[in-house]
Amino acid sequence: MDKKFVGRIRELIAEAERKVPYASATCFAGDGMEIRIDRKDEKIAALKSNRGLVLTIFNGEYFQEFATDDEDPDRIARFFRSATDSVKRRPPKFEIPAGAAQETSHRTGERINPDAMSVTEKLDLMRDRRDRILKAGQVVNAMVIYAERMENKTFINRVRVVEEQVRRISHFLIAFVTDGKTVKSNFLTAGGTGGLERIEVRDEKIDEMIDIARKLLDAERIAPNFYDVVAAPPVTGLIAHEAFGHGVEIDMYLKGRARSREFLGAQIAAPIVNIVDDPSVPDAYGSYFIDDEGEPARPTYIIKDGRYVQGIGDLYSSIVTGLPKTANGRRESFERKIYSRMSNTFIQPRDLTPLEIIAAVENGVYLEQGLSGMEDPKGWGIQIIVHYGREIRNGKLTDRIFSPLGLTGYVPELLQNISMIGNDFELDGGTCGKGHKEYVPVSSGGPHIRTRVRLG
Amino acid sequence: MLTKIKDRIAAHGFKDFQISRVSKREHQLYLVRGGVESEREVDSLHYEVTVYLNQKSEAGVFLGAYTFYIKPGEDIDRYLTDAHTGAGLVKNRPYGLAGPKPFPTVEMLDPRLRSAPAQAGILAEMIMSHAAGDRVNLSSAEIYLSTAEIELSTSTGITARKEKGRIEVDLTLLSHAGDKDAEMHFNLVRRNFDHLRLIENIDCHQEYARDMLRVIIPQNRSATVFFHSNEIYSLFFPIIYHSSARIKDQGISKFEIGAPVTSGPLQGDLFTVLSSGVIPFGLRSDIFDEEGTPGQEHKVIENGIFRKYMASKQYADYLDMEATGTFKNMIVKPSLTSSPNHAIDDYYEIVKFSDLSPDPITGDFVSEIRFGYHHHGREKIPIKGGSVSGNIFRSLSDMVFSHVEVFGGDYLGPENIALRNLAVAGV
Repeated sequence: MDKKFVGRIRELIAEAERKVPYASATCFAGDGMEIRIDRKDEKIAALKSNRGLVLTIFNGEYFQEFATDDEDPDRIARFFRSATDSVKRRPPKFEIPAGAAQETSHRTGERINPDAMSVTEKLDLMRDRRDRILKAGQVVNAMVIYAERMENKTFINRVRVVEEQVRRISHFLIAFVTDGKTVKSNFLTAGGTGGLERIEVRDEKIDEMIDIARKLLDAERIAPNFYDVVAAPPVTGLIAHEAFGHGVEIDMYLKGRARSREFLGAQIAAPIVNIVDDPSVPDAYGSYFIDDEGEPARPTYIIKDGRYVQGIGDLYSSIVTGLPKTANGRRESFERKIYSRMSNTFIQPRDLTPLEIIAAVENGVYLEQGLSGMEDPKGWGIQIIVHYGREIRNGKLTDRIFSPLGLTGYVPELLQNISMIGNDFELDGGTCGKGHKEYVPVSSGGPHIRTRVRLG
Repeated sequence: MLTKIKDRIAAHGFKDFQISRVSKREHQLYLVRGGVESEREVDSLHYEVTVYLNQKSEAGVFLGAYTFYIKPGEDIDRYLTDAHTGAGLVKNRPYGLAGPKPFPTVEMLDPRLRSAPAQAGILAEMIMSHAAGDRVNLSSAEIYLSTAEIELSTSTGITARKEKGRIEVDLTLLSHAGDKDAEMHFNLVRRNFDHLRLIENIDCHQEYARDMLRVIIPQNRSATVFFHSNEIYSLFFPIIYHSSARIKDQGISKFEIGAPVTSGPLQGDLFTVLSSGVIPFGLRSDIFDEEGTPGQEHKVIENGIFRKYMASKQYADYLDMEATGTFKNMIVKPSLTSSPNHAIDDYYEIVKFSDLSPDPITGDFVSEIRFGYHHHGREKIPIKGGSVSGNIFRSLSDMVFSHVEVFGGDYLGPENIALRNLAVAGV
């Protein structure tokens, strides 16, 4: 970010702090583009930008924020002064730590720079992938989406200027197939932080995705019951994310909305289970260098050897609860508030191969592709919608396929039931809401795991 | 700025354009346990610009389009250079832009939103004074009050302006009895303060919160399930999807004009579904949409027969049909031919699903029961956990509608709809 502008913002913060106990500013900028094509239509567009400035002021009791997308330096100075004057000052209830002095700048590394490839070349690559899907039998439509976004963020307070440039790439391929009576779809995703290497997709993966779409035409609904299941990494990730990710966001502790608070330090999962949230994973879609409160990214062990050791928190919630602040204060955009949010959340791998895990199941279901999930931190329930699962009989996958499946259950029971953990590891990127809003980029994943759950 | 954008668009060789100037203001207030957690003011202003480029080549005639967002004072030429490249690469079938037409008068802004901070304070007072009750207290509340002013200008001569408002209250209550506690969360979004019925909703959810303390998991079985009005837009989303002219154009729509949307013999009530962009203070009401098509109301399904695809101007041109705009607020009108609710004496009433998101293509759905009741004779047993699954298209011929009509922001229709023979997964 322009040094002169940063200097001016620091002066304005110093001016504000003569009247209020604490002030900081976060500047968001960045550009992006999207290609979206299907059998009949094509679209190239700029992505709506998240460009704006948030002035955060502690009034002695709580944070008041003022956000604008105005970038004119003179108007920003007036905006700072007017905001500071309008703050409802209260006797200080606590102090806001400004953190250690720091001036750092970070940028995502990349092997294949997206700027080195023209829009024409990117469009041609997407058309090739669309055409590969459309050429396959029974396909009625194909949708291919590519999006790249450079996110620039600068956090400034009285002692700290930290900035990052993170490039996020996402890629979706969807095949729609028919048997003449019904239409089913299947999808493939790729992406992460970095360059175009994140969307390298082998042709065999595309063919496999289409093949499964065809098999879904004969899919059955499963009889509601409890089943032994083997979860593939995308479903393992949804379990980690929904079961013990949202459940340990400590802003929910302030509101009395998370059951996990009563279990801090307790054995909550099988002893083989470790769950980690780590925004510093290289290349992952939910990665960043600093959170939206200027906190440097680092891993947080949430569950260690089955024991709940630490939640994930934003600054305000950490101060009020007295729990450690982690690098998890995030906001959807400059227009939204900061909450405690996940980044890359996963179960750590152990030593079994996926085949060894499947071979150990006599009768069960292999849950292969997740769709979505929803948290319930107070009731400690879990909902995961699984796109499809395959029958396991005598330790082998059969041709029988179930779709869709609803995985529901009681979180501690599900985590205690994890009996085998694989040695593989994958992260799946996407967006995560707090309830039904406040969407931020995240990833989730882990290895294959075996557990027992209710399916319907 | 608008004149400058138009001048530069012409200078870059684009004949057609749509420009929307979007100015927004929002006041946000966050409460935790009876105190303020945070307060925010947000202001923004940008222009959303779409430019169109006609292309002729040996392969045929094509239309390319490119959309970008620009703020006052930015270098428009940089954006237009990118737009020229982008639009020049896109090879779509040609279509025309919407032209000027009379716009309806639709109320979309409650004037009280002009004093948003004061109104947020009034709502906060109401919440704090009513949320605490017998074994129930406030966990947290979030209040979002916003206004937006949008001015549309197109190369086809449309110059129009609209203002709209949005009121959102997101509220969580905690209930407790002995060593048991539970939560009940709800979210209200409306355009008019009177439509929030905040006190009534708090009272009702306090009752749910207390009942949440004695929930059981339902049993595995096939059963009749009542869906509350707040879940019906989501439940019927596959109907909206297959009513779309874009989906028809892609060869995926199940629906044909004049054909029944039900399959198999009718066992329940027939129904009529309308898309309405003109309900006063409807969340999806619009004087005009992003391409300048006026707000309208259309019968999409009439007594179980599919009548009309909802088409943007682009797909209306492709399929040679009327440009209606995309699906807006949903109106459901039942033709009550079968048994009223009280004749069913064993059913599940789902107050809230964890996340009801049916597959738009197949209509399959499965969702966890966040809270509901099992009605069995005179018994009303609170339930939580397990799931309900089915297929909305299979259920269309076997639905029963309540006689009571409610307005839920983007839905006007029966208070609840019963679907028979759904799979309930439990213990």
